[in-house]
Amino acid sequence: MDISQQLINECKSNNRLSQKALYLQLLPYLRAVCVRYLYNTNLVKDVLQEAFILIFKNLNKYDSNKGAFHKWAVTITINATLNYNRRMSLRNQDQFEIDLHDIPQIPVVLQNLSIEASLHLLKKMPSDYFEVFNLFIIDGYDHKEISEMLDINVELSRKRLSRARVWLKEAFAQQSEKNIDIKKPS
Amino acid sequence: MKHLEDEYNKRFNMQELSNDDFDVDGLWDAVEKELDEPAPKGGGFFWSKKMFLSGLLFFFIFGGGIWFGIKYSENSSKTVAINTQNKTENTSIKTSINQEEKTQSKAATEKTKIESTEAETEAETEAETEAETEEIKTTKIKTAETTTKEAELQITEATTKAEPQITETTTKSEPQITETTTKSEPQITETTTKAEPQTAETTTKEAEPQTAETTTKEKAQTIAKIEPKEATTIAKTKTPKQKKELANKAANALKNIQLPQKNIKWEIELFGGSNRTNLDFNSTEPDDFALLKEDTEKEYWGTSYGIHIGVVGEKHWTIKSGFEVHQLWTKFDYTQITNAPKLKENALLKVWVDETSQDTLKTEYGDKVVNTVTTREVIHFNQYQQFSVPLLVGVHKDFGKFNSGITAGPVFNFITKQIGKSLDGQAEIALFDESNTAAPLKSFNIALRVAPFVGYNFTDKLSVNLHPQWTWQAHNNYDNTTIKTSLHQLNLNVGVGWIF
Repeated sequence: MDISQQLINECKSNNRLSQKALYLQLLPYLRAVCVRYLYNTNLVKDVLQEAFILIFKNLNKYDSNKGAFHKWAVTITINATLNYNRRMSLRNQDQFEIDLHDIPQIPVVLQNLSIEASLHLLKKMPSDYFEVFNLFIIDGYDHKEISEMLDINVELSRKRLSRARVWLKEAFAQQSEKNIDIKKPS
Repeated sequence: MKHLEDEYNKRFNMQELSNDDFDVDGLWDAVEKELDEPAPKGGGFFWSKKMFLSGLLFFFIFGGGIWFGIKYSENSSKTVAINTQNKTENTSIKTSINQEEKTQSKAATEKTKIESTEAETEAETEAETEAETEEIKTTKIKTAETTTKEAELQITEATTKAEPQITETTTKSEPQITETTTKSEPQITETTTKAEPQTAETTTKEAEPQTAETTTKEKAQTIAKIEPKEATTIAKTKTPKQKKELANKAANALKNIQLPQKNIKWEIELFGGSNRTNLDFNSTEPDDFALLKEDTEKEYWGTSYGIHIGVVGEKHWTIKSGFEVHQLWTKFDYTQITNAPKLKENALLKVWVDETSQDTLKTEYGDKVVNTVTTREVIHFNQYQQFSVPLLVGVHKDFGKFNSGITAGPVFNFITKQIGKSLDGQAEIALFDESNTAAPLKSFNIALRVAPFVGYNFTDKLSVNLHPQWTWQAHNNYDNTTIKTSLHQLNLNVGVGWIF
């Protein structure tokens, strides 16, 4: 995604047309980020609204030497999404955590899953692991950055990633065992 | 595993979602609307109110202390200043005596400010000033004898070179009336003497044309009214030895003057310590939920630190205020048991087994409703950050090196952070923060505090204090229920105080 410096400068000077152009360019990516991180996808619009306002109001703080603009915008959106997740009532999370103890009903091969299904599977992971897995594996943040974003220490970030991997691995393995048991019940 | 991660990365990194099924313009309108709104200035009304209240409190404490100080000083003392400057000897002496009026106080509290306590020189100067009458500038004498009725004896002014006057003598001598008014202020007492007829007569008689001698005698007589012995001595003193004796005497007199004591002392104290916070949930009606809340919210340790500024008055009263930061913690401890039916998809329903060989002949799968019992134990430490401005009044007593006392009063609390888990109004586990209705505390409240203290004074200026304190805060009904929330905070603080 290429966003010109000129467009950014025009947005800084509060040019509404430029701001809308930037909004239209960013929206498909940021929406995908929100959908991926949010447990409650009904909140996508709210989170996006908050994220865009933060982006436009903090444009002057953006330093092009520190990285690409879209990465900066994605980081703001992820932070807004994580905050929403934290504020969310645990009522939904209860159900989610109960589900964690069940054997995931998933096929062995990921390639056979649709994007929505693979994301749904990922969201069955405990939220702490899910966040770190997303940030590290998909969005490419390092542990130091993750620790700052989640307000945890680097060691804990590593630990959570390791557990996320184990969880995912076990989820697939258990599914395979189940298939075997079905064939040979005791 | 690596393959799995790569696959996820490939699918979701820089993923784009089509805007076809999304209200793009609706979102933009909402964003634009917020961008058009002017940014709030400063921290908004709430913060300005906090600042205003804090400022008001500090003004009250400091202003009160200063006012009391000034008032006390005005009532209890009177200042008499004597400045003597001997031009001849080029010696400058300034003495100020702060003297308590006899009528006002039994125990004299005197404030003496000696800018230059060259007592010896001063005494010598006095003696010389009194004795060397030839230095009197103006002496006008008209005797009664020479001018009969119209004759007036006027020693209008006796002004020595050493100004301002230690003794100011005004003598008006009419044929029958001579009035001598003497103001003498160097020796603490203030005396106004009206000359008796006898004195007047004597003065008149002695007011012979021998100006210098007469005046000396007159002066000596006048002084004698005030300090009979000393005045005579001063008048007659001529030898250096006597002068020196006088000087010593004056020096001793100055030494004997009791140095003043401060009426009010200020104390600044830096302190830190730990606190233990407990949340109470009470209901006027029998309420199981109140009991459940009470059982699940448990007290826990936190930390406190801050600065106190206090005034300690003479009658042991004290006023304290300051600024405190409290990190309060409570423990949410709840075991949730959920019993719920659940649909299990593709569950093994039936198995047909061969009786002889025990081989599985057939299996049947299908959806099945099963009962699930989930036990979930949640232990969470809830955090509250609180800034406090206390306004405490009480008593403070010194016992040698030790001091102790007790203070009590309101505390203005600003709770800026609340984060944790709790049972919300529907008895469900909920995450809360300060913006959530499940947050138990009000962002601003006025609490009551009782704080005894004991201290040890290492020096006149440095003390170490130990002060436990108990604070009680009342809060609103919890999350739209009938349950009243209150907070008890017990502190044990250790502080270092600087007295000035």
